[in-house]
Amino acid sequence: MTEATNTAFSATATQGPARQGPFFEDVSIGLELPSLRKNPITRLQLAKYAAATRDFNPSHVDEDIARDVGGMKGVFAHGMIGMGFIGEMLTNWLWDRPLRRFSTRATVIVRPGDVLECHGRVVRKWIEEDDNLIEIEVGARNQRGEVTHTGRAVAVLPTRPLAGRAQVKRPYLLEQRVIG
Amino acid sequence: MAINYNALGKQTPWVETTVTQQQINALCDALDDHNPLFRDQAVAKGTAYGGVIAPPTFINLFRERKTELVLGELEVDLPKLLHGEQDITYYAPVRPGDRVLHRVKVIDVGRRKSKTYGELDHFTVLITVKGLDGKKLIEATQLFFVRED
Repeated sequence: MTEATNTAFSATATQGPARQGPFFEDVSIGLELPSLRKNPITRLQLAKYAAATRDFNPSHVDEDIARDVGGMKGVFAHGMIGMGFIGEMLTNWLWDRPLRRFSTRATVIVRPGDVLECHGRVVRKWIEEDDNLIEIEVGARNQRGEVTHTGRAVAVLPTRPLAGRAQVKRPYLLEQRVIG
Repeated sequence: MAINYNALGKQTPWVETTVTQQQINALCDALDDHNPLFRDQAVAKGTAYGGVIAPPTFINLFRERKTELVLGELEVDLPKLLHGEQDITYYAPVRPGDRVLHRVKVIDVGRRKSKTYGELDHFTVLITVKGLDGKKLIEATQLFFVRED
């Protein structure tokens, strides 16, 4: 069985130094994450998601029940599919930097055929104990520009090691340890 | 029809399961997410994680006896249920092969006005996933709304 692999990832997998996630210093407030535009949601995808999570709520997989009992004019996507898409966007950018927290709110019903575009923006940086944290405001919009999900994520980023002597203006001061 | 507010505090027993690569693949396939961190041991090994990890929303797979809690205790009519919010806290990465315990607990119930659906009942469940050593791995609260007939 062959797995489909994103070319952007396979390039890093097969050549050059191992890919690294972002460093704390390099991330500025206001930085926009690369947005992620997903393929249109299909009923097959809802069925696959239901099977993967074993969440077989008929609202997502049974057209008749969703329409006649649910009164929802037909099946709609699990709210957590959108969260999954936003999670994909986050991990694409964070790579191996861990999430500490991730929350979303589903604001508009998502239906088969809808195209979601996920976005994120760094809104805060701070240090807690020994952890360097960033907060990312995240969300998704459908093809009509309606906000389907809003949310927030907090991730832990490492700092780069100290630059070293070559970049010091007066190296003799460092050698003499004039400050501390 | 209102939900049963007396379900507040009701919880499933702790259930032990083993996280499998197959479960991770099924979720990633459904999301159409092909990040090798979740599947490719050779790539993931060279990262800070040192191996494959489960994707951020993997907690949605931990739902042993959750339906029983929602239908049997909260008395929800499933087609009327809407999942509104989810807030996940990560303590440690979850990896294929991990043997874990999870539990679902009703921690909040109430009724409020909604712009789209009028007055709605709502409830929140807390899903906790921990290792066999008792250390927490992930925790999530999920807020659900239940529409009227």
